Amino acid sequence: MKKGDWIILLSALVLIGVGLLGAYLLRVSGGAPHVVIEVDRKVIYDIPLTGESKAKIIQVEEGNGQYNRIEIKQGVVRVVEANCPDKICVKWSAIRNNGETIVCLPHRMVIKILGGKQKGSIDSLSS
Amino acid sequence: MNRQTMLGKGTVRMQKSNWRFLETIILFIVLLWTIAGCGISKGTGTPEKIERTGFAMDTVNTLTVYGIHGKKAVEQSFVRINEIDQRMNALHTDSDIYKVNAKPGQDVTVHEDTFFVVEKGLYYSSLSHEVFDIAILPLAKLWNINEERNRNQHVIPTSDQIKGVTDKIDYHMVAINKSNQTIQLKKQGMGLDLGAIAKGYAADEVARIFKENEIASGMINLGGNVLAIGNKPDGSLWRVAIKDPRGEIDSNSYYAVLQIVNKTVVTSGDYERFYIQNGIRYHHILDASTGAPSRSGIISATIITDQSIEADALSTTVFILGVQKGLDYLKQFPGVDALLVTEDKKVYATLGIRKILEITNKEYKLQP
Repeated sequence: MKKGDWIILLSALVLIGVGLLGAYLLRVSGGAPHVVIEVDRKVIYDIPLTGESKAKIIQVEEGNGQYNRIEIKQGVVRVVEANCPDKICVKWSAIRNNGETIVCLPHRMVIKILGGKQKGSIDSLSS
Repeated sequence: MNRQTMLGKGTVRMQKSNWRFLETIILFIVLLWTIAGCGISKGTGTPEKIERTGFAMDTVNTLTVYGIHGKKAVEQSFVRINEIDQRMNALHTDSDIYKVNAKPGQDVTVHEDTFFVVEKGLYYSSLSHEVFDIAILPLAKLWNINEERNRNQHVIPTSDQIKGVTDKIDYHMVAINKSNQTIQLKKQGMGLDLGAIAKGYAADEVARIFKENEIASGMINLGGNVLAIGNKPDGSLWRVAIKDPRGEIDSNSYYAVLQIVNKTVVTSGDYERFYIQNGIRYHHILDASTGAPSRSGIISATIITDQSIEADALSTTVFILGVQKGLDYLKQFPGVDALLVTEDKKVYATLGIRKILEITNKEYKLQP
């Protein structure tokens, strides 16, 4: 074979290697992180979670005037305002890792982070 | 001069076949790459994870399953949880329990699920040295536990008010007829409240549905009431954390982790629904024998066992009894382990779970 043939063959192998490695890393990290917002078990929003410093505000309206205002900023998600009675979701600590959630029980709303880095290795919390 | 001329016809043929060979190799490799790319997520042998969060029984329920019938298992489970809620929630005007409570002195026919749970509740009430009683509703109402939270208005019941309901808190006055599937409250003003055991029952039902759908690996969490099915898909144990009773209130901070397979973990604590007035913490776990929130010194009681309805009943009972009486009480229940935390952050653990227990918050000290 000519030198050119070897270059092509080698490039093909390198590309595959990179592809496999990337796919593996992606699987291990759970894929690119994204924020999923559900109301009553239905997905309303599914947005990539980026490290952008510009805040993204999402107003989730659950009907009957109920709402939760969510802020996504610098890879961190929090509820900044809500009109539920106890505002537990607003007081709740901000989330940023795979598997973390914020829930608003009266509004039947869940915010989940899927993909990305997993902090710690807890599968469930008994409380 | 080009090679062709120099080396003659034979060489040309060989170069052409070299190319074809190379093309074939490249094609094969690209094909392999595509297959590998698609296969990476599934080809590693990890089954698809289905995780769903629903709202019922006045709390948040998260179900996680691995298996081909995952979606069906989860959907059926949420339907079942809602069904149990509708039948047994004392506040739902259509529920069996509401109807029983509304007709004292009468035999009220209930669904066999409700009958089962009430019968179990009466059983645990009878064993508990009078501290756990499913006929607790009048007392719960007095302490405003079930009603809409009034964060700014806490009216502590007077001892006269408590005395006024004491004779109505009596599981002996609950008559059940198994052949007719009826329940009767023998006194006016009585009321059943299955809040202490309904989630446990629901968790056991979800576990049954998972198994019927051949789910070998799954995690059930009904408002903090945990039940793990099998191992995790990679064969490792499920890591279940226990909420830190004095951790940041609105967070998932924990003080310990248990590694489990096919077990339920149920915790009763004084930090879920409480208020502090005049330096006293008024929490939601009522001692039927005193008519007030228990003061046994325990701030968190975790039960680890096979059946969730049992864990639910026992965690409440042991929480009220305290460490010594609680551990003694548990001796009659085989296969039940406990993790108890007192106000001074001392942790008492039964032998069976010491090997699978890791205390992660060093403020909490495991007692020998």
